Amino acid sequence: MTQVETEARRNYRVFIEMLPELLEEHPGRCALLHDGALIEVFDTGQEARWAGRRRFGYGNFSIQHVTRSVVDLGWYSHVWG
Amino acid sequence: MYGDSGEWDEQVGPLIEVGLFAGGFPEARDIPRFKALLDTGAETSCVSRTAAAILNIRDRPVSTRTVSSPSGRADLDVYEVSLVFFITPSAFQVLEMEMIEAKSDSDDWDVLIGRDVLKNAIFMMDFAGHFAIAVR
Repeated sequence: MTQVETEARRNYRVFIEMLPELLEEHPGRCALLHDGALIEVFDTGQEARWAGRRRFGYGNFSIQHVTRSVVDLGWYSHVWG
Repeated sequence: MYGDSGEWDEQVGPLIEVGLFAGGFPEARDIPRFKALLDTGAETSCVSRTAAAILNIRDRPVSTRTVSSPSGRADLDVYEVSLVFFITPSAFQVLEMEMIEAKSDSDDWDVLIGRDVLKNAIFMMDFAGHFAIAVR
């Protein structure tokens, strides 16, 4: 079954391509993306979320933290991808 | 402030009941309830695919995060949800937060409560397996 690519996944591909540049200019901040494009960078995820909801509506944007860090689910993990 | 207590499930771990919803605030009786595993080893809370499907949010992730676990690294969807701790059937505490969708290793729970929530909680467990939790 072919899955439709979500807005977040499409934006994530773009974000990863831009990440080296974003890390130089906006490390630790939060990027608001819509329709495969970077819209704006905010200091906090909450600010980015409010702006995304106001401008594009629920589910029509994504937010990416400008970092290379990964989420640690533990050495003995109960979940996996 | 939410508080609960229980007994450690030897096969699974410390479990509590929570509610989850996404979007608008539903009536208390309509909030879907799920078993949640308290996991101090997980940096971030997670939601199972089953629960995400029940909440009808699988097509609306808000972000993608790279996670690391013993099975390796993976890029997983992140959802905006409201996590509900029931104080009484009609009184509850709500945390708006992000949860990562992940496959669980058990059918016994659908929500993994990680350190992003537990950092605001007091969690105690004795060697007999009794535990108590309070969330600020």
